[in-house]
Amino acid sequence: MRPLTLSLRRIALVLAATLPASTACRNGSSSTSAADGTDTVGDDATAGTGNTTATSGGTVDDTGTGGSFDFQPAPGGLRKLLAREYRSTVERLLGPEAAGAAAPPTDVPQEGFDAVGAAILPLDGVVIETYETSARAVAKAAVANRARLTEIAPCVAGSPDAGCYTEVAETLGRMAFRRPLDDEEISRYAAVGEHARDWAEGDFFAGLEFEIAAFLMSPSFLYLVEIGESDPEGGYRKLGANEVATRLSIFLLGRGPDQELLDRAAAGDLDTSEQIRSVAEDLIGSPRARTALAGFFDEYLRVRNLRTTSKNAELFPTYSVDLAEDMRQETLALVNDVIWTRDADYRELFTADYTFVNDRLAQHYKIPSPGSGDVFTKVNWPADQHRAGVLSQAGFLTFQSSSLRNSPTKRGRFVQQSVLCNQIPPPPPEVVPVLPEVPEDATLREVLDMHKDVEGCATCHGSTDPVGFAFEYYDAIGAFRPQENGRDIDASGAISGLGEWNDAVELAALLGVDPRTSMCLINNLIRGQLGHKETPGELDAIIALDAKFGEADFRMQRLLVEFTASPLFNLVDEPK
Amino acid sequence: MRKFTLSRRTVLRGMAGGATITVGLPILEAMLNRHGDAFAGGEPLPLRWVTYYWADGINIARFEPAQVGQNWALSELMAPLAPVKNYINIITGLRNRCEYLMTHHEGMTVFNGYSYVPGGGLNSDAGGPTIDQRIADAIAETKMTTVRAIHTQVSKRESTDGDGGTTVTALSHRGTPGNLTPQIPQTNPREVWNTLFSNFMPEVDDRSERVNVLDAVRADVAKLKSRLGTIDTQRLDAHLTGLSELQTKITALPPACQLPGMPDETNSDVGGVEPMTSVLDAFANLIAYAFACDVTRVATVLFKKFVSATVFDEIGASEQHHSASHISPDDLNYRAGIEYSMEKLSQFLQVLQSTEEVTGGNLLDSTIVFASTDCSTGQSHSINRQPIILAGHGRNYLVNPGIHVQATPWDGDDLDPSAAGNTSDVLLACLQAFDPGANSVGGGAPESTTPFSAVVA
Repeated sequence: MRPLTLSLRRIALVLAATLPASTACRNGSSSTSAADGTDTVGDDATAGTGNTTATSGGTVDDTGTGGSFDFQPAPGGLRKLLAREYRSTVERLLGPEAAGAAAPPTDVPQEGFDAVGAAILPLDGVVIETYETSARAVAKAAVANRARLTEIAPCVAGSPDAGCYTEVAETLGRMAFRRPLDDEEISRYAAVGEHARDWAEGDFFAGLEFEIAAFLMSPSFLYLVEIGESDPEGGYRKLGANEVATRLSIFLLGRGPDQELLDRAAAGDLDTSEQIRSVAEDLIGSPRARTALAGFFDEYLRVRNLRTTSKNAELFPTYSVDLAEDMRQETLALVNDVIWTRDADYRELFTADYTFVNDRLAQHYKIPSPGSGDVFTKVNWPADQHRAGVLSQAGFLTFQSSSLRNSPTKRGRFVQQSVLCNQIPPPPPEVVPVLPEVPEDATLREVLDMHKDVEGCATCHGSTDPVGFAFEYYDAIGAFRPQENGRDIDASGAISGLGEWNDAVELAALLGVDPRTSMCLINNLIRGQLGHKETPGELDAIIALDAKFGEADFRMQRLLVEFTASPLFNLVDEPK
Repeated sequence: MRKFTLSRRTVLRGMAGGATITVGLPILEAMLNRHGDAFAGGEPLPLRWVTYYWADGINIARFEPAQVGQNWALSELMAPLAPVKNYINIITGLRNRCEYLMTHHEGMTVFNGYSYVPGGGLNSDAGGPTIDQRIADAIAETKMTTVRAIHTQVSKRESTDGDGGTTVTALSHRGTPGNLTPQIPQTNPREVWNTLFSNFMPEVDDRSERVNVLDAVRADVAKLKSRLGTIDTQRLDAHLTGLSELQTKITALPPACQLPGMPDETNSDVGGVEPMTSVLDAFANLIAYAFACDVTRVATVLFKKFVSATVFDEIGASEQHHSASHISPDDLNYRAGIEYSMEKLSQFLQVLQSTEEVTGGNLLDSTIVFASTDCSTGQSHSINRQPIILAGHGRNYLVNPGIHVQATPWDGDDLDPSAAGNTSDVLLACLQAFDPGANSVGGGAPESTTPFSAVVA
């Protein structure tokens, strides 16, 4: 490990800023040094010697900091294609019918993100078999519907001979593996086609089916290979041009690179940060970039889980699969509006005084129906519902509840862990929580407030529940309720380092100006898109990128572009 | 794989899930020796294993039987096991010796004998291979079944508290400490059917070409490996293992067995309710078929994950089972949920019991089912006195009829109950049924080198 020059305070600031002192908890010690959490990142980021060159050498000359900069990238290695990336890549390679036949295994998230699981977990036998089944189905559909294939490998039109297997290996194989195949690989894959053609008594397309299936079964297709090239001057490994092309395409478009991008890589157009930034600017102009980013927010904000979120049917008779899908679309519509339509400050995701509803959702919110049927329409939140942003939308409120009742603990935990990136310690093991008797007419807030006085409960609940109480106006499916058990709702609260609020609107306003909110988004992009949890070695680069984000008025399109020019994106450590 | 040529007339009949099932027999009497207790070639008759896990503990007072030894009676919460009671050995009072405590995660040591690897927050990774995988390794020494092991999960709900890491991801972990592949459980009975049986019913016989594809792909794995570090090299080794086991499946001949049709059950919620009884029934029947046809000899059943959002809607629960566990051991929802968990275990065991074998007896006679949970008292998630139910005697390896063995009497404390010994000793005793030479299970404080002999016949 390269020695780090970062102060503990700065690490703690990012990782665990506002938690109350938690010495009773294991794994909680890192939070104590920053318990006040009142610092902003700016003072450290601008201090120092003025050395703006990354210690890793290479082409990364663009840290954006005015201060000392020390950086250790995360290890390189393999990251499995996510299921959604697999489908999109297959569509780009082989067309929509083939994509429709794709049935990759379900991703297994770790640290809250599929990509982290995809970078860590080995694949078991069932997963390998599922990939084979999917590869065969895709290949069959691709050969039956050859329009896209013909664009990539024109020889498959007409009456192809055995040489066409070689052409397919060179062209389709290059897109599938995201790099040119070497001669041995070309002949090996062409041989698969020929072998199967002979088995099928000369049927070229039967042979082609197995050749295509073989590409889709190869680890060179199934895993993103991010190893880089070692720096002759001893710095960290710099991703090669094909690897950069792949990472750019996966990061911005959610699928493997197409021919044009691989051609640009081959032409030397992806060698410097400036070039990468320029290509990234081109790529985010694609409609596909919106779909890919929606995939990230679908996962990050957990709204994709709504389709498998159930509610007790007696308590919540209006809840349905369709309503749940509406909730998901509402959240994604706000993401699309803030980031793409308006190119506005990202933090308006939390503070927006409007939302998007269709008729069914308007009825759910008890607001006037837009009369647009299933089509989502922009409407302002009624002031008396105390709502603002995604955290007041039914999707978040529904998923972060149990099937029976709302959960201030879950809601508050999401804000702490996923919006502010504060780590919440597990309950101390030696304490057995025994809550006092609960009065019949107690509100949920009163019941949970009892945790404050119980040793062992307060360490975690003290950081989650007060935040979650801001959402007490909303039940387990996000519907508005002015009262609970005949008593008026109390949505007020306060947390050291964050501030005081009277309702979800005021909490959202605090989140909207908190310096951790933007930095936490970067952390979540690292987890959800690159596939690892941010490391202390990456902190300086995260701070520098966050500074660029701020300079760009927190517009996420700019963040995505600047991210690709960051050493976070272009450098890796020795493969894991 | 042995090529069987028996006629479809040779069938066995059994009752499963209330319906008569007919399973073709892979074992002809003519293939057996004259005592009927081994194949004529000397290969022993198949011995099977099931790990069964139910979550969030028990109420000690109402769960542990009052009597020990042979003349024990089912307790209030074990009462649903009455139809299979003779096949039950129940072990109470043991201590799970996991070295860390983090709520529920430590309880899973009962299935592998290793402390978990802490992962920060409520995350942990499995510390070592689980017992089912040790047993699958032992079986593979002498017999390569078409499917090494099958892993099923009934309730689909995830942790409400954000518990994470591979301890939560899977009930079964294959490999060695530091190099483990979690075996992701399958929740859809139709997919389980695919894994077990679809390979025997191809539309076209293209096996030669599928194998050829695997060979081509294997060369890529080898090329890639040389450029990677330890973790990814291990992952690619697991990938290679998967490819070679897929090849075994592709080239396996179908068993001389009437294979079941694909089940209708998909484990989709109906009106917000998980169809748990129907899903478990489907899994039980698929596992029974797979055992009887000798497609596999190892299965795991994850009934419900710890801390999951599961509500036992089928019994009208008005609380998540995990939430109820933290109210009090005597909470009515919690007690009903434990009883329901035992009903479902009993349902599973009854399917094995009602599947007869030509060698005499039923699948519980040839299987050992290791069933346990992740704590004793749910409220404190204590790992003292985690109960272990061993169902089936594994061809008379275990005491039969079953007994109640209590490692130490209960001191009456629910939250921090008395306990003695080591739960891993039970794992070692079970492993020795499959590998008599095995001399340890697990590692660190939970390691066992002393098999729990009290339940061994």
